[in-house]
Amino acid sequence: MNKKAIVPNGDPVKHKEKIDHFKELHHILLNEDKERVEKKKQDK
Amino acid sequence: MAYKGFDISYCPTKTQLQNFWTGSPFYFTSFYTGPNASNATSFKGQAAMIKSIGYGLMLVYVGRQKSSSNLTKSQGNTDAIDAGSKIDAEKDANGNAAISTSATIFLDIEQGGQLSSSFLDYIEGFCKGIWDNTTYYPGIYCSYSSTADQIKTRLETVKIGTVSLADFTKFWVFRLSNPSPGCTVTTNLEPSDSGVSYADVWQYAQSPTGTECKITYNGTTLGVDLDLAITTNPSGA
Repeated sequence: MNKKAIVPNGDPVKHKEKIDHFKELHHILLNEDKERVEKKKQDK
Repeated sequence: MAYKGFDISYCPTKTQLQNFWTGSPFYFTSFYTGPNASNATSFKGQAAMIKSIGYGLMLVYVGRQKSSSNLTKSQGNTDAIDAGSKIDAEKDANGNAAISTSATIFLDIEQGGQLSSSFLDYIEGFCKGIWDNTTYYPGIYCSYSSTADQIKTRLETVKIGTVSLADFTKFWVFRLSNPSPGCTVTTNLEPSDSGVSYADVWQYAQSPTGTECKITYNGTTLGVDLDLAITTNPSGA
C-alpha cells in the first residue's frame, strides 16, 4: 500500500512532487491489478 | 479490458462480502462517507476489513448537493479537509492507515444535466482542497450527460503550474440508459462506452431504480449498483 504523503499547501515544489507521484501511481495500480486478479483466482 | 465491481450504500457484513468475493466477477466495491451519506456509519472503521478480503475500493464522499446552502469554493475546501480526515481515520487492527495516502476520493454529485455556477464553485473548491490540503487525489461521481464535461471544463481552468487540476481528477460516471446492458454482469463494455471518453468508471445499473438490481452469489443476495472500471481499485485505496 502506498504511504507517500504529499500535502502541497501552495508550495510549488510539493505540487510537482504530487504531480510526479500521480504518474507513479499508474504503474503501481497496474501491478496491483495483476495481484488482485491472481488472489481472486486462488480464493474462488 | 474492463474490471467489474459493485457499489452499495451500506456496508454489507464480512460474510456477505466474502461470499461475493469468491462467487462473483467483482474486484471492487464502495466505501461511503460524508455528512450526507445515508449509511456512512455502517462503513466507519470497516475499510481494513473490506480490503482484507481482497477488494479494491471506490471512496465516495457525499457532501453538498444542488439544493444545499453555501455552495462556495470555501465550503468545498472545508468539505475536502473533512473528507481527508475521515479517510485518515480508517485504521487497521494495528492502528496503521487502512487506506493508501495517495487514494482518490470521489465527490458524489447526484444532479444530472447542467449544474449551476455556484455548484461548480463548490466542486472546484472540493477538488482543489483535496489536492492542496490533503495527501489524496480528487475524483468526481456524476452523470455522463453534460455534467461530466461541464465539471471537467471547469477544472481545466484551475492551473497547477503548467497543468490543470482536471489532469489529476478521476471521473466515475453514471449512465443507466442504452448502451447500458442493465442489471447483468455479462458484458464486455468499457467505461468509455458510457459516452464519456475519459471515464475511469461507469456505473451502468442501479438499485433500486424501479426494478431493483438484486444479485446472488454463494447464498448471499444484495441489491447493488453495477460498475465497470479500468482498474481493480478505482480509488487506488
